[in-house]
Amino acid sequence: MTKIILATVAFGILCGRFGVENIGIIQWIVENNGLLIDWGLYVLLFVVGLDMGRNDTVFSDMKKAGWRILVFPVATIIGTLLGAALVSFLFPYKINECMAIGAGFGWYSLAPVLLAEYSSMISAICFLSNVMRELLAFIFIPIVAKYVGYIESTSLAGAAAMDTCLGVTIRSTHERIVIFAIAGGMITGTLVAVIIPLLISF
Amino acid sequence: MAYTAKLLSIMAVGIVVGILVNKNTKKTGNKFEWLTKTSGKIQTMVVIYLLFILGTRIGSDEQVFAELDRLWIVALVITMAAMAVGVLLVHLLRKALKFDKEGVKMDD
Repeated sequence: MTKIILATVAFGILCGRFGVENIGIIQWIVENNGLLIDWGLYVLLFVVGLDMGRNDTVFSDMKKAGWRILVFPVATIIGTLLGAALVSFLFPYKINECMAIGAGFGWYSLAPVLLAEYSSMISAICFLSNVMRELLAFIFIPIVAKYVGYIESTSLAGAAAMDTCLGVTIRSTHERIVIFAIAGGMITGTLVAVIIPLLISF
Repeated sequence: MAYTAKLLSIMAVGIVVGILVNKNTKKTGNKFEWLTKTSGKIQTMVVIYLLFILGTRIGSDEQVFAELDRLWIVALVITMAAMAVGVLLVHLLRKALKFDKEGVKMDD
């Protein structure tokens, strides 16, 4: 899937770079970018919600596990935003822009799209950063699980903890950690659509 | 704010429909099985559609295109810092809540 995604973005970039002046449909797409993105987002979030609602064991598992499960994702979110904010001192980007880039929590198909109308530059960095978050999570989950702790390893992937990175989490930790990963993925994932628009409204 | 509310309410409608479909499937068998089967496919298609559009936006912005080879460094530093501070805070919280390294609650 990651390969398809990278290829799609690369193809889009090439179309945008070389097709705007020559190909009518590409010109139309670029001109109506905002509208096309909005409608795509509506469909995506509806289907994501549908999946969440259909998966009823997730909610009952989370209820059983109690409030402690829910505070770890909060630490992941605060840590992510704090880490990204610190970086703003190294680069010529505003503090809220860096935080918004980090606030994708690895959901690279949603976060950069939310930022597309704000700034193509920030959106491009956001895409790269969140693809990296998922890839780096694959590498670091076993290491953090071994040397730091099981629960800590679930915070690495952010929103990807509940899908693409779940397999590596189970292999590196224990069955009981799955609920931490799923709760973390769900909470950070849901908040992507809240935190990013909020951060760029400043 | 209005945009966020719109996005979240669309997601909430999805969740409610998902819960209803789930209940209905249990009651009447697999009447809505097509929805289960296609939602993953729809998701993949929409993601590919969105990322293509995003690509055209990035590609048609000359400044971004010119700086693409530099932007990945910014992205890498932000990602590493975000993950590191995230792990650090979760670590402190785990200690404070008295879970052991393997995620088992320790008795006081």
